[in-house]
Amino acid sequence: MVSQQVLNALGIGCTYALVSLGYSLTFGTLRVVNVAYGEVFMFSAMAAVGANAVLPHPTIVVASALLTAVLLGLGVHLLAVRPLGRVSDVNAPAHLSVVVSTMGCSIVLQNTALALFGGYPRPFPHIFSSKAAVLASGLVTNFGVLVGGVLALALTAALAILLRRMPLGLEMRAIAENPTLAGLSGISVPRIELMTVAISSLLAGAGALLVGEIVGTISPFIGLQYGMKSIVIIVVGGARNPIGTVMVAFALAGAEVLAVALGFSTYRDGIAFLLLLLVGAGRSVRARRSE
Amino acid sequence: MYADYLAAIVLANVLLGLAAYLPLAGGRLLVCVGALAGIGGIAAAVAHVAGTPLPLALVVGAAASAAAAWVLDLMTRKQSGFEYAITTLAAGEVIRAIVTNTDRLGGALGFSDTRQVTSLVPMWILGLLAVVCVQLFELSGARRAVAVLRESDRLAESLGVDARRMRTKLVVAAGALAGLSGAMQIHLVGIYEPRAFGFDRSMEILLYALAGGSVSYLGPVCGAAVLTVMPELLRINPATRQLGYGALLTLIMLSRPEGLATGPWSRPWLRSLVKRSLDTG
Repeated sequence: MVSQQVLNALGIGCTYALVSLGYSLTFGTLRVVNVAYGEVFMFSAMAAVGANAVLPHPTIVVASALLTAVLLGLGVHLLAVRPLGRVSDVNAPAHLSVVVSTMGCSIVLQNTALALFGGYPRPFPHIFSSKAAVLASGLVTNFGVLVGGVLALALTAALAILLRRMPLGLEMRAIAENPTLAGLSGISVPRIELMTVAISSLLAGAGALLVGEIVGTISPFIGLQYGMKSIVIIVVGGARNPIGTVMVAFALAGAEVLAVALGFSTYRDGIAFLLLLLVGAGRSVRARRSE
Repeated sequence: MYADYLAAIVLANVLLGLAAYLPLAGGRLLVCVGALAGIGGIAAAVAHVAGTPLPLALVVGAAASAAAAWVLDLMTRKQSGFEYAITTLAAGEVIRAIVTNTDRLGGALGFSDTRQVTSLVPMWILGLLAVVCVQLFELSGARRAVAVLRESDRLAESLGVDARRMRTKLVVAAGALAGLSGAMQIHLVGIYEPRAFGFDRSMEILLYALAGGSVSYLGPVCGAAVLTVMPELLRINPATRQLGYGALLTLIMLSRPEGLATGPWSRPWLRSLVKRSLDTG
């Protein structure tokens, strides 16, 4: 059953990688942490379920999820991030006001979803196929895992191409490097920031669809769960390092599956936090030794 | 009786607000005050049941949390800003996961192995003593050093302040305040739920400090008092309360990043806010 567990870990790793990728784009380019990103992701998944109840058609489901994600992502950015002004360093004390204001937004979004949809998990409409795919030698997986895996790889590649090869990516990198200098060289910083937020929100919407497809049920609490795990993955993997992010995402999924297999299933959601604590402690110890 | 009880709960929450305020005054967002308070609560209840007199049990609770805060500080020496906030949040969630999964610590139902108290006097004396201690700190030279620390570590170092040591002191003091508060709460309420260790509760506590302001200690005192009494008097349902807390956090940060009770409202903040939000130049 080891290969089945590996397959499960890959499926969960895909979901973490997808949600973290969009997050790392805003985090790396704007240099701010938008804590409400996880709730934007959750809300677009809930919107897909809501749309499916009214009009059960795959196009409607996909469109509603993506549209909700972009609108909410831009809304949170305009309301809670941009008015606080530019902060050049995520670790500057001034940046805490952005963390707190977006935490406020995420609490509002989560409770709105609870009021609208109720707190219990809901089945997610299958876009591709509800049939379980049986692979060679009796391995069982959800069809969504296969599609999700391919899409996760494709989106990672697309993001890398966008950042390395396209003019928009160049402008984004310029802003990440030095916003003042980027503005002086004729880049419209607020416009590129909005573009970045829109693209990362789109990724949140795509992530929501694939997580729903892979996991099968969603609830208003997945925003907090996935949002927090993504933050951990980005902090551990490096904010401007998409490959590191994806690797840590799969490592975390592997650790979680291993914990469940060893019988610590109630600790599953604590593992990400434990990982962060250990990495932080490791850095402290190393810094102390070098002093 | 109800008024006595409510007043004691307000005092406990004021202590929590102060516990969040101390690290914030030095520029650190400590997001696990709830978990620290829970450790103190359980330690105090265990001590009390084992036969320690109540005042001593309260001190045991404060000491247990201070020790936990010290360990946390050791683990987060290299972090600052956002990373510090998220690491302390992680610490709180790990503690919650341990408590939820350990039956001897109450498990998922909450820790309720405690003894009834007959008099609230020891709580009042110790609680007010703690508030007075914070007031004394506020009037001392150390407070000015902390104010510099909030601006920049390097600036503080250049003025002869040992930044790391000062931070450790702030976090340990915050732990002691939180522990005392937790010890009071478990004896007032009789139960400590695992939810009180987690992220939600820690955000509420942070709101006490932020609503009041992180510039003077009177801010968190007022913030905690108002935010405890108001929902109680208005009988607001918990879901609406959460929603209101969230909206308040955002609004406070947008209008007054330093907190509400921090001086006159000089400029037309709403107009400047909209302008900053829509500025595309």
